[in-house]
Amino acid sequence: MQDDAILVEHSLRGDTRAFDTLVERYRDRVFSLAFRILGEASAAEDAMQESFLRAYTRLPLYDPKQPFSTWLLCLTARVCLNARRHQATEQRHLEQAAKAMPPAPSIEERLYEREQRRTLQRLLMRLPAPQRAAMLLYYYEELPVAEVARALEVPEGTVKTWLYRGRESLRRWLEEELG
Amino acid sequence: MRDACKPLEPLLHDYLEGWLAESQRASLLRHLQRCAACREKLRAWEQVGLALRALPRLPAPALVRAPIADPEPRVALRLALALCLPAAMLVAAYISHFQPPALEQIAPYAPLHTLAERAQEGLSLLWSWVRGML
Repeated sequence: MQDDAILVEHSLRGDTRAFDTLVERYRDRVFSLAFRILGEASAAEDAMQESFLRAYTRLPLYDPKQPFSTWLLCLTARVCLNARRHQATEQRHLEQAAKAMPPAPSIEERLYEREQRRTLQRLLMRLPAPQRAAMLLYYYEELPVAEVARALEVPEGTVKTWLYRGRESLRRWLEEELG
Repeated sequence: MRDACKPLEPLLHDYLEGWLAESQRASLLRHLQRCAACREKLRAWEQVGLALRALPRLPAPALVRAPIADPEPRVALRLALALCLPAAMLVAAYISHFQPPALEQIAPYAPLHTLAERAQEGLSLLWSWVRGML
């Protein structure tokens, strides 16, 4: 498998197949992150499209010292937050969040686990969008605090506060819901 | 968690994430040894973190539009330009160095000659137009 940095280099020289490979490699991750932030599949798909388009047009600005995945996921988070500002209502997404989860496995033992994930996704949507993005970039994508701060254009201290508050909110809501 | 512990919450979180300064760590550990409520909170936060990390990756929709234009037309355009330019230069060179042949030489018969004269006029017009275009 070719290294991301090499594929980026080829893309910059005009080899669009190299960029297609990057799209193929990261589209599930980009889509998943977008879905977790936006809570709705069609909005996540739009955000994915826009993220890859933006990544392509801004590829000359990419700094190879940073992993390509980090750059792409931070860019995706920003696209999602911008998209959220343009969304008409939060409520529509809250309602759709639970419905838009992928089809359930038929194994009975997994149903409970799936329900918990649905609950977690629904509760995530209660957090303010930047806080949610910070939580997902840090816990779900496992990016360092410094990268999260850069992606969301806030100081590292703010990210740490968001992570603490978000985690505490989720803990409290989960306890209320699950008992 | 007791109300007295509330101000310690950010420190507890920093401890959980490994961000806590060494100087604060020891006193917090002492507190944790005594306070079951704070230990329970740490455990619950840990669970939240694990649950977030365990959220499954979702498959992206199968039909993803290519974010960029297909490269083929650009390649084809470059190829066409590469072939057409030398060809056009050759035609221009030919026209500027060689006059069209006199039709009397190739059409000895009178009726044909008349027809040829008309054709020559047409051709001359066409050639001068082509020259003008180039």
